[in-house]
Amino acid sequence: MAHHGHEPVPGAAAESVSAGYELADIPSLRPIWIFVIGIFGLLIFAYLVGVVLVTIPGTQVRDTSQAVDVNSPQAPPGPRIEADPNVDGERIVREATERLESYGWVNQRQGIAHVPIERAMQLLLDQGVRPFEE
Amino acid sequence: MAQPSRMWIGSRVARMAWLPLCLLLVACHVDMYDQPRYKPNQTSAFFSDQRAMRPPVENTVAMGSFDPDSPLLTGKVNGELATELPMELTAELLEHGRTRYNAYCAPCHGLTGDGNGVIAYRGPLQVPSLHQDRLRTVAIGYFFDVITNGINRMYSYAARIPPEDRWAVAAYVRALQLSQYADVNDLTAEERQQLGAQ
Amino acid sequence: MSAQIFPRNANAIVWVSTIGLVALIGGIVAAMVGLYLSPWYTDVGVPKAQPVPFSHKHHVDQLKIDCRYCHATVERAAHAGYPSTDTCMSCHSQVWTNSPLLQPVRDSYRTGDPILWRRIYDLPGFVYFNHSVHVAKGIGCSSCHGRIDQQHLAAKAQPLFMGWCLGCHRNPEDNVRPRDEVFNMAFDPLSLPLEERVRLVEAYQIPTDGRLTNCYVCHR
Ligand code: HEC
Ligand code: HEC
Ligand code: HEC
Ligand code: HEC
Ligand code: HEC
Ligand code: HEC
Repeated sequence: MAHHGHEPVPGAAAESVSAGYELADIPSLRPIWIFVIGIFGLLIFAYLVGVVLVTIPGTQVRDTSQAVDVNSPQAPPGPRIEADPNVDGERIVREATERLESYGWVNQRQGIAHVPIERAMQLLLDQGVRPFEE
Repeated sequence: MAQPSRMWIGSRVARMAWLPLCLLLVACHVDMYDQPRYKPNQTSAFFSDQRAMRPPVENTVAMGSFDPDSPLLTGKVNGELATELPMELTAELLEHGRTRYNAYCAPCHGLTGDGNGVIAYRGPLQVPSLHQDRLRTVAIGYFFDVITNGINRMYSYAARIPPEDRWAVAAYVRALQLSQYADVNDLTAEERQQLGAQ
Repeated sequence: MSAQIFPRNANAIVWVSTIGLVALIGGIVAAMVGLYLSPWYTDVGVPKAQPVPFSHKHHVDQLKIDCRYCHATVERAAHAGYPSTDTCMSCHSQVWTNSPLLQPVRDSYRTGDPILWRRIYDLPGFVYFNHSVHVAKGIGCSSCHGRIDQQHLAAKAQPLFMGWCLGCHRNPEDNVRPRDEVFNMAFDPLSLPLEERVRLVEAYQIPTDGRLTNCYVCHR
């Protein structure tokens, strides 16, 4: 609405007209406070919605293993040989470690044993790295 | 017009209105982030193979990396495989060799050297055991040679394992062999008892 | 006498537009900070497409290959580096020899042209970083690169802000671990009691006198 300052607005108070500007303030500050509170309320609400969206399990950006699996056409195919490759890898490493930490017979008749690797390293320090004798 | 002094202040403030525009400039400096130099492993638009790290010209020999008479670099003494280490055999050397072996060899040869590493277990890659009579009676220089030059289907590890470390691995392989082939007579009475109990 | 210049609602307009302006500027600043910290800008958790869909989960977690098998220089040099084609082929000359996913590796091996991996962690040119010192002083890969052994395609675990580097340089005792656990991705330094970690900091002679936060350590 274009407002022409030269024409007195109908209903303007005479004092204001004579003073050259509006003397009366708006009747109440209430609508302004409602507006302010409303805007900040909306901000906080939007923030809370965002927090809820981000924290719902499964939508975390950091969880890349999922993101890739689901979205990426480039995701490498799973292992194809065993049912549970993790278990196998762990079993192999565990069994080998146990073997390297224990005593046992390799050939009892010839007096050949397996010993923990720490012990073998000690023995090797004594006997040196030359080839074993037949 | 009515109040010239107030007008003047107002226009002064108005003239500052461009200042917030400076904010736009803040994000525009990348010259120090991406400096006109190459970093390792970067790609280059200049060279045809796109490598910024230039490989040395073929047949280049780095200083100190070649000496046909050095047992340390060749694993040989007078043309024969070395039977001793070119350095002192210490507990630290063996411990160091252990970390190298577990990182570079164990995926295929297994932590114990029995040829049943995780890779060997899974795939078509047949890996021999290090606990064979032939390998137990071979000179230590042989292991150095296999790591340096590879053998048949096994690739060379020379690019990744420096010569000193290769000797450490070789010594540790011997310790592994010993751990699976110890003579009972070398053990203490206590250990023998432990064995006898089984 | 001239007529009135301002309408009746002028004061209200001033109020509303002032508050609106403050809210707008505040909102813009908040949005910019948010964007700056978000994966949109930092790439945290965002995997990049690579010439070969190489999976750390597959090779490290399932096949138990050590980091050094592929990143061989990490203990000796500033850069961990990427594995050469030869390194891949030490297995893939015999494992999955027909896989179409590995065609770029075989091509590279044949032609000698490198595989062009796309860098994920990238510091600005004005920052100096060195892997070997961190590895030698008992800082594990997972302290900086997160659980990369659980990722199929590698993605950043860290925006690499300066404050993050400084945080650890100020309190190394929160991140130090025994040297032989550096390559163990599952190890959590905080599982050690504080005294033990303080002892490690002393044993590894990590300076705690504030020297590590001097600007020239990283900007040289
Ligand atoms: C120590 C041995 C080893 C090394 C080194 C190695 N890989 Fe593998 N890789 C394997 C094995 C074993 C498999 C198959 C595992 C399975 O599925 O059972 C595999 C699987 C893959 C696959 C999935 C193939 C398919 O079709 O399913 C890709 C892709 C791959 N590797 C890429 C690479 C790249 C790139 C490199 C070099 C950086 C590399 N690998 C180095 C052992 C290795
Ligand atoms: C990618 C799997 C793989 C890795 C890793 C590997 N090897 Fe081998 N290795 C093999 C295969 C396969 C053979 C059998 C080669 C052939 O004769 O075809 C072999 C053979 C050997 C032999 C026996 C040679 C002979 O005369 O029979 C020795 C010794 C050996 N490797 C030592 C090592 C050492 C030490 C390392 C670590 C630096 C290592 N290997 C790493 C696969 C591997
Ligand atoms: C079989 C080989 C192999 C092994 C083992 C391996 N990596 Fe990698 N790594 C790669 C390849 C190839 C890339 C480049 C492709 C990519 O970014 O995924 C890479 C990339 C990375 C990157 C991202 C580099 C960048 O671009 O900024 C990090 C970090 C990393 N590896 C850490 C590790 C850690 C930590 C380990 C041990 C737990 C490890 N890697 C084990 C082959 C390997
Ligand atoms: C103190 C933090 C920190 C630790 C610990 C760390 N890295 Fe890094 N890594 C980085 C940073 C920072 C970069 C980016 C370097 C650059 O842009 O120049 C990086 C880059 C890399 C890259 C990309 C190639 C390169 O060399 O720039 C690889 C691969 C990598 N790291 C592997 C590893 C491995 C393996 C370990 C464990 C032995 C490790 N990192 C430990 C911080 C770390
Ligand atoms: C998890 C802990 C940690 C983080 C994160 C970390 N550092 Fe370090 N940094 C260390 C420790 C510990 C040392 C060893 C200090 C020493 O003993 O000299 C070190 C040393 C260094 C040094 C060598 C200091 C010297 O002695 O000259 C540089 C350079 C460095 N860091 C750069 C960085 C940069 C750049 C980043 C961030 C990208 C970073 N660091 C992140 C722990 C960390
Ligand atoms: C531990 C390593 C480290 C130390 C010490 C360090 N910085 Fe930084 N600085 C960084 C890293 C990493 C970045 C890059 C951050 C990024 O990319 O967001 C950086 C970025 C900066 C930037 C931002 C440059 C730009 O244009 O964005 C300034 C400025 C800076 N550093 C100043 C300093 C000053 C001053 C000091 C000494 C009080 C200091 N730094 C000490 C690691 C360090």
